[in-house]
Amino acid sequence: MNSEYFLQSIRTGDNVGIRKIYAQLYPKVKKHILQRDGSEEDAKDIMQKALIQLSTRAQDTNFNITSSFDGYFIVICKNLWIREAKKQKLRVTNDDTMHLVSDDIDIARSSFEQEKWELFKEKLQEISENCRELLQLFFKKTSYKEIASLKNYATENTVKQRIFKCKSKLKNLIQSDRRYVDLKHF
Amino acid sequence: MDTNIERFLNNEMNKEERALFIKEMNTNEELKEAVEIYKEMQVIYNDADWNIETSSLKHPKIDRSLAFLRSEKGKNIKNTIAEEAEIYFSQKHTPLRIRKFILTAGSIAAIFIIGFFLLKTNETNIDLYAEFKNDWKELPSLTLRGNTNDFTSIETLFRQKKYKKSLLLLETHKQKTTSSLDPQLLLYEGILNLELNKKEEAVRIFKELLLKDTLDAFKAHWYLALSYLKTNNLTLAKQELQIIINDPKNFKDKEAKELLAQLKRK
Repeated sequence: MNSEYFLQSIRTGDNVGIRKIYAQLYPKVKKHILQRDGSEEDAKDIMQKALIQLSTRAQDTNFNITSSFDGYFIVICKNLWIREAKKQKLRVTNDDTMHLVSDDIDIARSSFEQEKWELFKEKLQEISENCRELLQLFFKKTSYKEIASLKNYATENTVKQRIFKCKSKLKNLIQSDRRYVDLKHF
Repeated sequence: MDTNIERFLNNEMNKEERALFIKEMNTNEELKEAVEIYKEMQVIYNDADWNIETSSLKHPKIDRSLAFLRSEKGKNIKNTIAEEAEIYFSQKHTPLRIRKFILTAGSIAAIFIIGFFLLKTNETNIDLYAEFKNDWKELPSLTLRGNTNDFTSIETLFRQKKYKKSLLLLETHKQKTTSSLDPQLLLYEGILNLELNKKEEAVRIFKELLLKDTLDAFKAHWYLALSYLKTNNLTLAKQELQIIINDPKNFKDKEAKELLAQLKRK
């Protein structure tokens, strides 16, 4: 019941609901950020950005949360924190993607990225467990040789072929989803 | 194609190969899309990475979000969130579990005893840091010094707790100037790093300040003590505090005594 109430509060800007979200979720957000070398100020910043991001997405009447509100909100905060770290890294290397932008633009972009990320996560669940594990090893840069030994494949070549098929399967699933077409770059 | 995408994303191509690949991406939509998808795949498998959209990206969804954020409704919601944050953080918060426990405890006397006990023993180093930094109220104003525009913005952002932006501006200012940094600006730089949890850098800066030939140099002992407190290095924190209290005329002598007394009880 809380999930729907919280989402509605964020959608409409209901102050009582937002206050309850702070009371219920800020301690968890703070714990997560402090454990990942962030400060209390970072936790406050991430909490606020997550609320605004969610409010932005919730303006779309089709938007819905299928898991618990708490779990979903914490995932947004986790991703925003990873994103902040990446931003810092890009700034240090003077990457031209990271010119200083207004908070609004930054939130609009992060909201778009989050939506894409959720779609990919969802699609990942549609491939076989074996494929998920193989891709996991592959993207963690485990060598084909090690994967062959870990997953009992006869040769490295078999592993290569399996991974290729898994990637293609995932890619096709993503590309054939109507939502991906909406999110695609123009 | 897949191998080339991998090599491209892992920065394993040489300059010529990379240039050629980018050129091909610009004309081959299929390749461009495959690269995008591949990038996202890497991100969902990597808990420490994120795919940030390029600043040149124009997308109707981003435009719609932006229109909402800039609308009256969007502004009102943002204000409400900010106001609720202020209300929440201005109140003292006991963790929920403890609060429930207190509520169910039977007698008022027990509540007092338990409350006192919890307050005294649960005060972590982070709590002490938050208390003794005193919102950096003693920091001197930068507005009367040198490059007024930059300095005013650095200080304004600092006071608004927009530490990242403030530090970014300070670093940009540093790159523009050839002379060594003003000691008071150094103080800000150290604190900004400390607030952003770049603790080693903060300590390095405060040590640099110690060596300056200025009245502010001695203040570095207090900020070093706070840095060590935040990093849970209590031995070094105590050493810095001891240096301060050796002379009652020193900056933050009273606070140093209080803090040292609390640390000794731990």
